[in-house]
Amino acid sequence: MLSWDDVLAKESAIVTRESGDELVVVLPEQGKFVVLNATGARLVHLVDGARTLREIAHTIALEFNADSAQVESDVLRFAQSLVERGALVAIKHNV
Amino acid sequence: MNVAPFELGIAGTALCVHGPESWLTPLRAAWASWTPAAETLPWSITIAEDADLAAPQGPLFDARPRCQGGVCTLLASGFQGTVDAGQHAGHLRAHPAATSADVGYFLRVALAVQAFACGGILFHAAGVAHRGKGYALFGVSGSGKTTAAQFSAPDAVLNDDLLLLWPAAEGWQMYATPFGKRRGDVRRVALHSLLRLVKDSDVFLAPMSPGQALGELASNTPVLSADPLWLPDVLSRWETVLAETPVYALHFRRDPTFWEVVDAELG
Repeated sequence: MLSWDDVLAKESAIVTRESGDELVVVLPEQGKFVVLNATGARLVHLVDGARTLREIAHTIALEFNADSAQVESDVLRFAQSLVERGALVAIKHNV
Repeated sequence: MNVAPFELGIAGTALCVHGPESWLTPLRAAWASWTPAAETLPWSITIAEDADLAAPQGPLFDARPRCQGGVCTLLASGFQGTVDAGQHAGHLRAHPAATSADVGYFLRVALAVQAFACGGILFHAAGVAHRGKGYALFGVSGSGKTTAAQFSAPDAVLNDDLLLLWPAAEGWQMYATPFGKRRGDVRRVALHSLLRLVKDSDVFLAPMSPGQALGELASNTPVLSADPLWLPDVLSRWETVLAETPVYALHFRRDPTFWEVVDAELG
């Protein structure tokens, strides 16, 4: 499971494309894709191999003027799901 | 023994295939009417027997193409194949126990690469010519392409698995291919709609978001979608198709009633 201090990076092979308000993330090696809404897209954009998930959640809560506790919960769960799908990878696992 | 090459062509594609008689003769007979247009420059495809390779452990169809920067590689026990878009050529070395079906699959991969390089898209979809309009019914394996094609009788089915989309001045055209089951002999029809099949107990059309449509279409683009370097161009190509072609999710059940819904809402 991911934690707040984890740092993620995008899987090098993924290809992304903005389409309307959505972000299409294609995983060529798996022949699969994920479609993200605006919040999910922002999360993927903010994943840069440097920011922690806590910092990303904080940024999203500010930008979307959303409840911090809810955003934190959503970010952790959603990041975990993208790691499991192979779109993101944990590069620094801080316990 | 090698025989005279044969040529395979659909829309603006053309493959000139050289190889042993035992593999090419059945393909030449099955695809005799799929000849390229005279003005199309063919890609050269060479098939060679290689008894030094290990015996095949299964059909070449089971080998997933690995693509990188315009070069597609098919590697499996008994097979070593490459299709190079930059060289306009493909080469397959195959163990003598390989079959003409294996060679046919390699030609399908080569055609996918050539079609994309020349402006088209090989598309994992069933194509139906219904009331003079082309409907591409697509979805992952098991989504019901063959079933929907069967329930489209007496309409012509250009193919129940693989279509070639090709741009023309009057819009995107849907071409038949010889790689699956067909009904009738319609070879080309204007593409009217893209319909993502969804098995359901109810029959209805539902809108698809642009992102969902793009992702679905890209993942139903055989061979090319496996190449991270080609993939941005694959997405762009589909965006040009989507700019002029409506796309819906078609919820359907095992009967022909979905055409009544399509006619009422899209016809």
